[in-house]
Amino acid sequence: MRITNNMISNNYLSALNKSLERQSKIQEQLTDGKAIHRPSDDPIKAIRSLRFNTNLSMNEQFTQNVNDSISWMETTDGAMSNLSNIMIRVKELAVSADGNKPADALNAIGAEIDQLINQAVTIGNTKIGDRYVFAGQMDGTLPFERKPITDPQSNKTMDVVVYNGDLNKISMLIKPGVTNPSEDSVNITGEELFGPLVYKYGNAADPGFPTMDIFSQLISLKEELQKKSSITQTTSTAGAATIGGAYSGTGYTNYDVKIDGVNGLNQVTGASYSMDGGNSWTPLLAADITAGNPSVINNLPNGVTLSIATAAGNAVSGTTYSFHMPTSTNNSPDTLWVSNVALGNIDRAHSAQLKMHTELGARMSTYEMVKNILASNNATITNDVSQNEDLDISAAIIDQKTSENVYKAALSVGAKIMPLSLVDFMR
Amino acid sequence: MRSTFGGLNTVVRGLAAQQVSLDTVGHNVSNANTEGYSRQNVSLVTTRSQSVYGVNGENQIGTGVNIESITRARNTFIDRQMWKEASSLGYGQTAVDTLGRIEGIFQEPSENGLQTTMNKFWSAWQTLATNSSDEGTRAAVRQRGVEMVDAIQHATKQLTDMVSDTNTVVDIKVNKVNQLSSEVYALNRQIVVIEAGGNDHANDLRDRRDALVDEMTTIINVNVTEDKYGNYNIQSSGVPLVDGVGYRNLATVSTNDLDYGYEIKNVVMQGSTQTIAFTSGELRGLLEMRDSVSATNSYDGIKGYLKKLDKASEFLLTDFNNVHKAGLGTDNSTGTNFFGDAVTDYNSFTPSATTMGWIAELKVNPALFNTTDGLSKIAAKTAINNLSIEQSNAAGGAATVNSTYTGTTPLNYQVKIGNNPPVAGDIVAGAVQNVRVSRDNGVTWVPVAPTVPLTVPNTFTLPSPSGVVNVRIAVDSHNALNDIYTFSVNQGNASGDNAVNIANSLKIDNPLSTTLSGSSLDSFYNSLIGALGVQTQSAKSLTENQETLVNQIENWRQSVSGVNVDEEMSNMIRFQKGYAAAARVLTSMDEMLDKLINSTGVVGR
Repeated sequence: MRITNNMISNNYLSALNKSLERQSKIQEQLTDGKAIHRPSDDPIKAIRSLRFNTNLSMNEQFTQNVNDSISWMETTDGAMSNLSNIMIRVKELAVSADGNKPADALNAIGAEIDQLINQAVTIGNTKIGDRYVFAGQMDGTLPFERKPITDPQSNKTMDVVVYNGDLNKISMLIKPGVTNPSEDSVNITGEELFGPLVYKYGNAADPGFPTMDIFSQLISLKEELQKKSSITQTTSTAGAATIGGAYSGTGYTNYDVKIDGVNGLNQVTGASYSMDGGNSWTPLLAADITAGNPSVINNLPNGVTLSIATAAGNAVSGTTYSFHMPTSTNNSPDTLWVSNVALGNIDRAHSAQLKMHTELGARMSTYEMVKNILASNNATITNDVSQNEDLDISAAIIDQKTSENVYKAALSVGAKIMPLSLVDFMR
Repeated sequence: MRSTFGGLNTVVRGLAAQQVSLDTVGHNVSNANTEGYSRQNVSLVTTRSQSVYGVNGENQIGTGVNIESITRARNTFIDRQMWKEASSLGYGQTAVDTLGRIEGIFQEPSENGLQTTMNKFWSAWQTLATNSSDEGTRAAVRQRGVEMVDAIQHATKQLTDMVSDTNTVVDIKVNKVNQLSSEVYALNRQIVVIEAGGNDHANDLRDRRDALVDEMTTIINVNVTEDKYGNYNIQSSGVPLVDGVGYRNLATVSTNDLDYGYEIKNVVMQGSTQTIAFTSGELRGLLEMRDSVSATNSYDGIKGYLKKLDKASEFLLTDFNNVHKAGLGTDNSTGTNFFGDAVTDYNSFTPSATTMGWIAELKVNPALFNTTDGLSKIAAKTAINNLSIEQSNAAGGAATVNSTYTGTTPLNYQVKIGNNPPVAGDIVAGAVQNVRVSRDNGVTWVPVAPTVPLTVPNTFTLPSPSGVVNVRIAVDSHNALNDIYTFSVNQGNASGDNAVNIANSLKIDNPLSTTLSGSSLDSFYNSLIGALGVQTQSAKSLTENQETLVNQIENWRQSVSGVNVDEEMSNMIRFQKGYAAAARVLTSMDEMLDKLINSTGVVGR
């Protein structure tokens, strides 16, 4: 075949170009260590790379969810341990409140239980970050609030711990799929912690206030232990007052009695009472007060009578006597009830809590295991991504060296052949 | 008797012939690097011999050499092969260029591609599912939605920019074809004039005309025939471009794309409106890569990928929005679009054909940016049907609840089968006819009659302070009096189960969703990238093969028509020697004649 100069130079150029193309491709790969830079380099690898990276991001999301769940559960765990200590202390106190103690001692025990109730409320309001742990799904609202409410049926003020949360579970997914509260919930609702939800102080139209059983028990225990005729008087020099009569009301009633009249013998002759903490006063009729030493004030609501002793400090203005009922006729707490019924209730509640705590512990160890599984999955997927996308550096460098040598050989051969022609040899 | 001076003529003819041959060698050497040049050969023939009468009869004496023709060494078969394959090469190269640019727009696999944006969007929803009352998480979800919209619309903008670039290039190529047509026509006329009479060869003009046709075939496919006068009749896809009497221009005509309204240019004969469908060449590559859709042409061009992005937007506006609309926000609002505007129901929406269809509608609902309640409208929780209902009789019929309760305090229900007190007629053939309900944990029970008696299974409307709560217990032969169902109504604001559903719609195939034929958005996008990769890879390998083929044909052509400097040099020596020898002979004849003329008849002087 006849060969011309142009053919030689064209072939030379196209071969050089091919070699340079090869080198440019290897250079692109070596610059960032990745084998594919566009889908057309290897379409199957490109799709696999997309899938693997998606799996990796899913794995990372679930790992974060597991970590969040574990920290949530750890907070719950700490709170439940504290709560258990409180319940144990309450039981100790209840046991120690036996019939041999005087009423004052029992009152003091009641006061301590009051403080323990406050602590339990604080534990119930534990937060992680700014989310309440025991509020169910209403994690932005304060779940437990201890407040006095008015019982619509008896119009008395009752001490109650109101539950403002709900009974739903917060789910944190740790595997693909839909949420299933029985499998992936992380929280313990207030109901599981403190006993079933009961509605108290309602009527036919309104179910009343939601509260928890344990709090009801603790409040009843405290009130039982604090039964006494504790009368506070605003002037210490006034006469001491004692309560009598048969209290016929239900629940607590607060009484305030103030002196309206004093005779020359420092005996109380006139009084008025208030049932709403001093906002409105109802004067008593003269016939209701029997002056003497002590003066007996009859006809207070619910069959209660108050006897005020004679003292020089009895005066018309200023002296107010405050007390609350109920108080039993013998003025002392019912220790039999305390040691049988109340203690049994508290015991049962504590056992239920311990069971919940144990379940939580089992859940936590499962989650730790899931965390390890996710971590090893992450390593596997990362490995897959790397095998799929990463360049075999040693093979690529050998390739690059080879094509560089080929390029040099082509250049030198071309340089030798192309310049020669017959012209150089003619004289 | 031979003529006295006849020999001189013979030699003179020889000198002239060698001179012309040398001139031709000089012409070849000067044009060794000219594009499209074919080397020229002088073809010499002997002239008619003369009869000379001698002793034994006639003798024929040769009278020298004459130039018959100067021809170019050209194989037209090779030319035709070249014209065919160069068209295919032009087509392949534009296809590879366009697809390469589309790959650059999508940028996969990398951290800047759409896949990474979709993964981040998914993660945002999953995080919302675990902490759905947090404003920060909600704002993050909204922001990732904006990123998704931006990514899709940016890719769309780049693709439509490519369309307008393609239109510009089509204009340029059409102008080039017109220019080439007019030049070929001018050459046609010149060649016909020179070759009139049938003897001459307009070598250089023909070379130039062939070079012009070479250029033309890269742009369009042509069919060339030569008529008896030497004109080239060129037609392309049935449209005559150049012939002996004139040439026709191509023109571009601008219309709007039927589906998306952007401007596209098509090629027509000037003065007509009939679009020319080229079968090969760069113009075909440009037009097809701009317009084809895999549904009709079995592969995708720019419009095909625009259609796919459109489908993805449609998915986000319909199926994705439907999952969002079924959920409730923290303010218990429902039916809110996540993408699109606040009022349109995209299930019955038809996009207009003058804008970019669904893509133009794609934006994050502006109502979600409202500073007071925008974030609370993100629907992360579902309606009540997904609550878990505990039942005391595991074998009994399952209860389902639906409600429009809008209060914020949880309502707790215990539902017992049977009236208050229960009678045997309360269950008829497994279907529950009466229930009683307690909202205070079993202390008081209120009987509830079915909403429509005797329908099976019955729906019972439970007492609720605001909104309606309905429960329905499935028909089951194991239903017994006093079976209890416990559940509570109203999702608290930390529930994120709808957020999980939304996230799943991005990743998990749902055969009920028809927009993407049952695939999830991820699968759809993966197959888009896979198809792009395969298409580009096969275009690249076809083009490479075509390049090799064209190179081979070029070599073949060069082998026949190219100038070999060594050959020309040896020819030069040959003709030089020939000239020198002829000159020598002339000198000797001159001496002979000189003797004859000057020295004859002068004896002894």
